[in-house]
Amino acid sequence: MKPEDISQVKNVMGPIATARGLPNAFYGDPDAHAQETQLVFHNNWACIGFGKDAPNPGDATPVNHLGIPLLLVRDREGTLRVFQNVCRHRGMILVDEPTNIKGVIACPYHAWCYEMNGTLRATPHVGGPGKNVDDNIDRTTLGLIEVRSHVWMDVVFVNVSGEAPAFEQAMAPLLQRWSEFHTQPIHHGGPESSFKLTVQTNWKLAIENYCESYHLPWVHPGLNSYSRLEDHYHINEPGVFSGQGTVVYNPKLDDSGRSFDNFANLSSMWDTGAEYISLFPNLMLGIHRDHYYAIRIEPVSQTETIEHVEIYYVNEAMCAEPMEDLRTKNAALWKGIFEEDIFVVEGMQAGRAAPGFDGGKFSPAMDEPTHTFHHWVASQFVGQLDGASITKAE
Amino acid sequence: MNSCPTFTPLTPDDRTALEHHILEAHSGPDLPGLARGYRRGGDDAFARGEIDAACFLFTQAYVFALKAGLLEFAEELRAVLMHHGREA
Repeated sequence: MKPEDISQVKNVMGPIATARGLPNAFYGDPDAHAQETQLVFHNNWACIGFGKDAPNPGDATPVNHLGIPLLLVRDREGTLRVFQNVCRHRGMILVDEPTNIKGVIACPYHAWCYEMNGTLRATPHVGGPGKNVDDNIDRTTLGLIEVRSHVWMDVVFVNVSGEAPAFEQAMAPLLQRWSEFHTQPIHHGGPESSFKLTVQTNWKLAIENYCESYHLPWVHPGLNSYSRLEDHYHINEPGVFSGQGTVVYNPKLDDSGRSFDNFANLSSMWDTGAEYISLFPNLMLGIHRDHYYAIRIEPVSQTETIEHVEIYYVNEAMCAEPMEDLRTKNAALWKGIFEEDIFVVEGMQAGRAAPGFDGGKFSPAMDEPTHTFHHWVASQFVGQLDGASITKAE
Repeated sequence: MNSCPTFTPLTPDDRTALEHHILEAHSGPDLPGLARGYRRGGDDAFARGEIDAACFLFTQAYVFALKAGLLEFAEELRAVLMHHGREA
């Protein structure tokens, strides 16, 4: 990163009235991306997928998390674990496509076999042909390397460094904010409730576009016809999440009056309320009285991002065949809205190629959620930039 | 417990047939078929007094039994290997 970039990072940390956004390097520079991978993703709780990706006992699903090969494994008791998808022998990838493990996870190279809990069970011929033991091979020290993980509302999080605060502590403000929802069961809507969008942009632009409502009248005029800008409010939880809420959520997916069941025992604010939150670093969430969605933002590179969208409902009946048409309409509605955002996140990415762009001037009235995210990203670099005298902001 | 299996050696033709069966099972792969096939080959090697070859084939059978989730069969094979000091 250049000295002027470092200086700009310091500007991000200031009050919104005088702050600028993150510098161009954060949106295209490979070195900045590499630093960000460690400081922003691996040191925190990042989303890598969903429980629905490995729904049944024995399911094993490989995931590439910013270059790290990981394996989601659901054991016989139903617990989901995350391991490095790597054999302790020669570093071979263990599972290269989603599968159901009948017995053990066997390396395709020399057939070292691991239990679903990662324990090394067998080391065939390790001491010579037909000799499966060797004094220098201690199986108890050679299990799969487990990555610290947590599942919340079917979202699978990992903390690669292992040093972040406990998930419940790190995410306490969200757990409290949505306490009426996250303790209730959720059910994935099925194939039509799962889609992904590949966009040519840095992952952060997807996050920052999602957390603000300022763009709604211009980018989503259809949405604005029934959910106006003034019906929205900002959500700010510095260090954890930011976003927007609406007070006029009132879905009409079906002329005959059919609708999805609601979560149980919600307070009245959710009768017409809905909230949309960017949970740092890479998860976008939407909560409504009758459904919930989560979007994993996968940084493929510093300039390409995949948005993995998964929609959930409140009970099995909402996920059954009679409601398929409504689920399809709901998914199409959201997909249309998210597609409307593509030109802006790709346009902002293209704009970052302008030399001397200063990160952008925030509107103190409208861009607070965006600044909260920029501030959080910048704060992850405190003390990490050579020559920078960045101090932790309040 | 099959720690000391008693088995009549296969005829050359039967051995050839078993090799074909194992190769066919590999192409599936038919994991239970592989476990059974290698086990049969191991029994044959034991019957001929070829302990190292037998333990090699029992190891193959053991791995495929583990992969197939045939845990009782796997334990049976493991017991034979342990008896010969080949498994922990």
